[in-house]
Amino acid sequence: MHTGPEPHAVVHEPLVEARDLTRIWGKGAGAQIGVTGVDLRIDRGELVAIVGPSGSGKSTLGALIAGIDTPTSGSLVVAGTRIDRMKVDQLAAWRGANVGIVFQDFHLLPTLTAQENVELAIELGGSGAGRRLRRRAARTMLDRVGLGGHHRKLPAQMSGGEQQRVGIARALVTQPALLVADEPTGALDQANGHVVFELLTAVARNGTTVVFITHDLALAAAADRIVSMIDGQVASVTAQRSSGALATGITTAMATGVAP
Amino acid sequence: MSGLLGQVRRAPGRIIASVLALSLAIGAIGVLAIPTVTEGSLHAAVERDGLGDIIVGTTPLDRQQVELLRGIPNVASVSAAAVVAVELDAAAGAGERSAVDTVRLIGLAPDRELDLLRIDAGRVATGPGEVVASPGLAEPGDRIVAGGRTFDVVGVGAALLWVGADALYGDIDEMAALARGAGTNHLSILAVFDDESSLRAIVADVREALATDGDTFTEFPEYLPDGTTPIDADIRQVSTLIGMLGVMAGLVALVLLASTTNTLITERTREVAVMRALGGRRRPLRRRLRRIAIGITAASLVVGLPLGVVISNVIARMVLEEFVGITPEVAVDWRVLVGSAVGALIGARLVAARAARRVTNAQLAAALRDREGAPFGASWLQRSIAALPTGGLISRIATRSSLRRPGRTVAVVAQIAAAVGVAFLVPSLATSVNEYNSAAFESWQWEVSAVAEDAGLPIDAAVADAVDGVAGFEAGIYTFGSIDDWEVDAWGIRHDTVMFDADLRAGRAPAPGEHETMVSAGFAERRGIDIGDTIEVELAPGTVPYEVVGLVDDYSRAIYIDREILAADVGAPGRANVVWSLSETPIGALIDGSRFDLPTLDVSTAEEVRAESGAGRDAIVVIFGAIGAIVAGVAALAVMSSMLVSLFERRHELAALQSLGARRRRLRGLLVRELLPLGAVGTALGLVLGGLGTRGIIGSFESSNAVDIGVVDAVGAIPFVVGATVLMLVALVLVAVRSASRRPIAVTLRGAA
Ligand SMILES: Nc1ncnc2c1ncn2[C@@H]1O[C@H](COP(=O)(O)OP(=O)(O)OP(=O)(O)O)[C@@H](O)[C@H]1O
Ligand SMILES: [Mg+2]
Repeated sequence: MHTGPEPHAVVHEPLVEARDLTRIWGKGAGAQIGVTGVDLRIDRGELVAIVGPSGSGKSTLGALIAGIDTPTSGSLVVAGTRIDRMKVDQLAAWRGANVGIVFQDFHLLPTLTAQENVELAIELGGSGAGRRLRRRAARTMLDRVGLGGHHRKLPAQMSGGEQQRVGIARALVTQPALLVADEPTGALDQANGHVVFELLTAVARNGTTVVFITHDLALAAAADRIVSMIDGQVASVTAQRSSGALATGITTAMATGVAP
Repeated sequence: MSGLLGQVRRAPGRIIASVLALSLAIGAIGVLAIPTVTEGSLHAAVERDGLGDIIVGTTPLDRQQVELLRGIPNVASVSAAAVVAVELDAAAGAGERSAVDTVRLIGLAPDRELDLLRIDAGRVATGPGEVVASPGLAEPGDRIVAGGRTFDVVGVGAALLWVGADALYGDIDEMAALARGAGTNHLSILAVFDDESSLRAIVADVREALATDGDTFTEFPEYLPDGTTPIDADIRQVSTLIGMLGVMAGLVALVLLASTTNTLITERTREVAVMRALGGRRRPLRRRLRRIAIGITAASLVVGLPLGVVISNVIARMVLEEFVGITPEVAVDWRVLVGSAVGALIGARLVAARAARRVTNAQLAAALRDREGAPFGASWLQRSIAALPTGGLISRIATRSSLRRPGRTVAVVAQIAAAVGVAFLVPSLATSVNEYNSAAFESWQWEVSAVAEDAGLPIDAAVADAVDGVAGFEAGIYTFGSIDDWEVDAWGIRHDTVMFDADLRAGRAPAPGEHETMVSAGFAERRGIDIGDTIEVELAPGTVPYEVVGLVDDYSRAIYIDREILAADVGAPGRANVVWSLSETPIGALIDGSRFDLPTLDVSTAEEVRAESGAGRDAIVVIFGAIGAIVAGVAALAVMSSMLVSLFERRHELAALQSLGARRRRLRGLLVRELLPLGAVGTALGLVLGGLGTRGIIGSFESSNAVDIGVVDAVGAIPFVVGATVLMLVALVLVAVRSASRRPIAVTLRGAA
């Protein structure tokens, strides 16, 4: 299925540093806990998988790290910036420059073609690249995800796998320090899922920090580290590139009921 | 019902907003009731106060002559009255209270069946020396000196026929003695069959009966067929206009109703999908959705129907108080009330059924993910637009999003057009009426016009000649006639007049001593009258032929005849009833009676006359403004509501943009780019429609009145209309972006409700 862990260019310098991170919805008895008391450090260039049973807070943690949600309390530093108290517009600018996000159901702009969707990320990313440059970068990126002949297609004219590859191209085209993917293969069949996952590992190999959320333990096994979550808390984190620790992580994940 | 309560508990804000929107929509339909409520109030007054079907002035008649008229076929009742205008002398009690200087003395027979008095305070007069004063003139217990006589005011009240006039109602013989020629000089006749031709037959018979004693009509009879009132004609014009705006209001209200109902159901797409996924069958789900919509509409009726009654009554009252001077009681137009209730329920049911079918037929997987089911690229047009990459990416999103749901885009443009159209139509009507009023004055040169209050031609031939002899003064005749049953103003002017500077479209002025006439060009055109034709003009005493020699642009329905000829033709050779003056100053000296023996005159300056029509215009503007505000407001609300729905549906898209780094400024930019063209097209369309609507309404008045009115577009209003539209769209954008950025992006993208 996949080629297994390969040596990555991990620099031992933190890209994500979460301290006592908590996200709760509502107050009092009806409060819903997303994550609570999460301490987590992810280094530059790491490929990290987040696993755990449904409702354990994986998506919540991913959203916080990607800066598309704001923690209730705790501190969160990503790519050298404290993002937990940022204003809406600052945070938007920060996202544009630092993160690429891949969603389970793609969230492409339905009125833009593949090419335009990718260009849009460059424009909103605030790199200030000219139109010609943007077009070239978008085309190159689409070629790299294997959509060379599809850049003029609208999302409605593409398969799920193709759309997700556009999503990845869009997330990567700004060369972000961090890529967050929440079940990027969840809506895809096995073959398409495999292609997408291969792309993510390739990205990580090139030095981008990748955090991906998955239910698929076989995919998780390809990561440098596995973060297992239970009930909004980090239950265990495997040691880096230690196959033994990785095995422990998988065992924990299995014990907590994650279907492979 | 419990289901409905559950809905209210779950999303109170949204449900309350829907109920309010629907209530306003239903209430706006109340505008349709204004004409009937107005006419209903008037007709109730007619029934109650015994208004005749024919009103006419006569030469002095005695009791026996009047008695004989009762024998004429189809006459149900005849009441004679003595009406005379006199000076009101400053008098004990009343003097300081009243700013009036002339007053009508009206003597009414105690046993009459028509022209009943409505007593507001005190009691009726029971003999000579006692009077009932019109409201505002005096109070019971006051003593009033008028026409050299002292009267005790015993009550306050009015008869419908003279409502709004300053009058003292008293003993018939006492007033008859004060009138010229001693006798009653006014007839009110009630007919059994009161259609127009029956009334004309009665008038012919009465004319004949009076002629046997050498008597005649002194004014053109006023026909009030089918229970109408003298003010009906004015009221009906206003009512017709209001009715047209009412239809607009109704249409706009229906759109709002449809969009609100549609929203209510569309919002439940996901919920319905869940229930279907759990095994819910479509049919019961649809029924449930329909029930929610109908339940909310029913709840809205509770607020909307009374609101409609209030709207119609407030405006009807404004109309009646402004134009008639009567304060109507609260009236309800049951047809409109029931109609709007049934219409709202049926409309809601139809729209709900359609929306429910769409929602329950939506693709389950897509609906469960709470993604809207309108992909872009399904049509050839959308694909070709996408293949033509022009402008910035944000602009492309904006344009394509409008094309994505063409039906909705068209609806929004139409609603903006409706709001703008009404907002432009109302001031255009106002400016047209304004311009029309001043255009109708344009040819008249006088600064002061003094019109005799009494019927007939009360200015003696010798006095008329003497007035003509004073530089800057001229006597004239202002009376009425009828051509092919169209009532026309009949002006008697000297052939060498300096008071009327005819704006001739064709022909010439009548030659002295000839039965020739100039006719209003607009009227002539509509009635097929040409120069060289001989027209039969019915005047007070009978029908007289005149040769048409000129057509004048006077924005009126009038004929202009040599004064001597007209005087003779109305049976009063040499006499007149108007004195015109070119300057304001010396009129006092002329009319105070020291130089000439003039009857009681109603003196007004050109400025006053203009101000009066200005006041009437202001009233119209206020009334139309109120209705226009309702219609435009409802339309604006409809735009807001359907725009907010489509923006709500696109929240995922906006969230995705934000996740890519778009700041709020970008989102605003996108929405502005998206809405501005819709606003621009809607506004342009609205202005065109408003202009066409104004032309249509004015045109219908022109043809129903056979008179030129002319359209003047309220160009000055355009910046305001455009400004208001822009403001509304900007508000919409701000609200949408605010709500898009308030919620965490992650939450929106999850699709959690
Ligand atoms: N917007 C929200 N409002 C209230 N509670 C929420 C919200 N989003 C998430 N939660 C709650 O937070 C908890 C964690 O949710 P989260 O989506 O992070 O789980 P997850 O691990 O991603 O699950 P899954 O594997 O099913 O995607 C859940 O109990 C959920 O009910
Ligand atoms: Mg999740």
